[in-house]
Amino acid sequence: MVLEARGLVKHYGPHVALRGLDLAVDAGEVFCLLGANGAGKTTTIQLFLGFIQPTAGSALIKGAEVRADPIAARRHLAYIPENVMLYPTLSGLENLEYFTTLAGVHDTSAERLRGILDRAGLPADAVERPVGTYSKGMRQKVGIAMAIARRAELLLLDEPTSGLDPKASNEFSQLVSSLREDGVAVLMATHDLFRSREVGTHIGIMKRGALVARLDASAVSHTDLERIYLEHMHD
Amino acid sequence: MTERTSIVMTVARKELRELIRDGRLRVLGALVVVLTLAALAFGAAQTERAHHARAHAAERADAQWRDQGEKNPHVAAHYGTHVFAPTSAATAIDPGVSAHLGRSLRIEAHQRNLAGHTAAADGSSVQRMGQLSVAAVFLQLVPLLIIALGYGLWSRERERRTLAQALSTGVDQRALGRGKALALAAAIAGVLGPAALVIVGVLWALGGGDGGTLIRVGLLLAGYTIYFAIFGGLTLHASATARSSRAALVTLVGVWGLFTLVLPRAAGELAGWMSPLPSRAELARDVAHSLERGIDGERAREAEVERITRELMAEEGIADAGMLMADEMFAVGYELRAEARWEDMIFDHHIRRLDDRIAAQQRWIAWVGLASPYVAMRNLSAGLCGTDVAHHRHFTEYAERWRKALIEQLNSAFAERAGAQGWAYEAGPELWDEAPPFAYATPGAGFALEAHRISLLALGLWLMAALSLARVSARRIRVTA
Repeated sequence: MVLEARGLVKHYGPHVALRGLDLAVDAGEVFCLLGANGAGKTTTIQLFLGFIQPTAGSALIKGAEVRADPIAARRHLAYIPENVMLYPTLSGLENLEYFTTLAGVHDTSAERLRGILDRAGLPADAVERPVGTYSKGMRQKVGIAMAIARRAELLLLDEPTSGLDPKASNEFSQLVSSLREDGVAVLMATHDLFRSREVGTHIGIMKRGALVARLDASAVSHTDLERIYLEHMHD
Repeated sequence: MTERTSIVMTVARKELRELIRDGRLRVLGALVVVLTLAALAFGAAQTERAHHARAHAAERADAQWRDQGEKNPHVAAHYGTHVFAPTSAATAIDPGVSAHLGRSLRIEAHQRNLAGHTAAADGSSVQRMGQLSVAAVFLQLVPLLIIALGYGLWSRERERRTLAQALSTGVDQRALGRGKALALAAAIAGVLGPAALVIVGVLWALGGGDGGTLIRVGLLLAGYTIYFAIFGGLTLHASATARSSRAALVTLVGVWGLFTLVLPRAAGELAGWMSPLPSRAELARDVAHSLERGIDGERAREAEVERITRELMAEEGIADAGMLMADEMFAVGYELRAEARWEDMIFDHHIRRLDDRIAAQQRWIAWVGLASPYVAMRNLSAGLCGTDVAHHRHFTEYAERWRKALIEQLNSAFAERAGAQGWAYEAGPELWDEAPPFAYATPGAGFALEAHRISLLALGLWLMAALSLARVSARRIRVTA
């Protein structure tokens, strides 16, 4: 397994954010976490990033505890949040070069990185422009380019298409599917039922810190997914 | 290049790009450079003027001494002369307390210059800025530049969430911290490096190309590098630990104000309280009383002068007072020498006590350097430029030894050569030419370091503390996605 959660529990004082989460994502799989705000999706992502520590249980990446060596764990993954945060005075190319160098990528030649930005769908005339002039969709594409450039084995996506227009959202989904086909494991937290069924191989519905349903994306229709989701939300 | 070095360099390059592109480095750097060069120009012009004025005055004093015509040697001792401390080229960087204490002394029999023994090293920072010296710019404005460039290095990244993005790559946060520190150092070096070269060039042109001055300037640059590193470390620490960039900026400006405005003033007050100095009127009254009644207030001047006269005779093998009766002026000469010894003993006592109190004040101020790196560096800077109280005391002590030798020589000449002419005896240029040469040389850099060892200790401790804080806070910085 590339990613595995074993009985993950997270408390914030008296508030319980996660209640014994178990899940696993293997190479070439996209696990979509659906749920309302506060269901525990972002907490799960943060635990795998090692930005917070679990109260109990284990977050494992490539079989190793994230808590034991978060830096080593992060070397396997790429992270794309709702808003990919970049340095506004630097160009898309400079941002990509910076983050890939931090990740320990040796080949950061401008030629290679331009090719990756092109694959991610960033317009050629935007590559040298300051990121401060980019739309949200363009910044998300730079985020995807980072994952490609790093040859990440695991992609952690936290509401990556939130606020994107349908065209940009569709382009983003295609890029994620393309990475899945390359064997990348993906854990995606999202509110978007349509997109989760489109790109996901597995879907989990979270409620109050627990995974209340697991679905095979290929075995469920949009209508059924919406019905199951709403049933759980109204319980 | 190792991967870690490559990452550190990449982070530094990125930070510098941001500093350059958002305009802060250009605008603030240009401001500091302009002020530094303006201060240097003023300082160099003032030093050049002082150098010429000193040379001219020394030449005139020497000519007046040699051309004073024929007169009685003791009258010549009253006529006196002036001596001048050499003007160091480094004064152009840090005038220190030289403007308060002066660089010349009046030399004459029976009189000592008490005005030169005054503490002025606790002058406030505002007074220093009023002088607009290179040292004032380095001591006060460059730390503000460091704060302005560095307060957001961590906090702004956290606020705009690029820190989470960066840490998600698996980069070691210590490497990030080193890169940020390197960028801050490179930015300051980029601003001040060319200015430092201009400073060295101007000092060279002012005659500061000798080995001693070069060593002092080298040590001064090292001292200021440490001082800037302290502010850099503290800035990175505040940026990493403050809740927001605004909080980091407010905290750092507050610390700057504490270091450069509040504590220097408090240091002066503390020193004055712990080691109070008499007023000039009190000192003059005490000296006058001691001259008549002795240091313990229980002696009579005439009796003491007689006693010293006998001691002088014994020292020089004149056992029989009858030998003096044959030559009245010989006796007068001994009396004059004895009187000078008595006065010297009184003056030495009071001035040593005053100088010791001033030295104690300096030590109290130096200890405040443990609470303010500004105070420590201000002391060291003036010391290395030879414009501190310790160098002034070094000069006045040499001048006093020279005064005693000159007066002793004149009185001895009177005693030995007056003969039957008595007070009518007049010596000529041959005696004035015999005056011992006034060959004062500024002490080496070791003297300055020794005089400011407390400040050196304080700077060393501050450097370790600031760098440790920066390193620890970089390691502990936390983000949420």
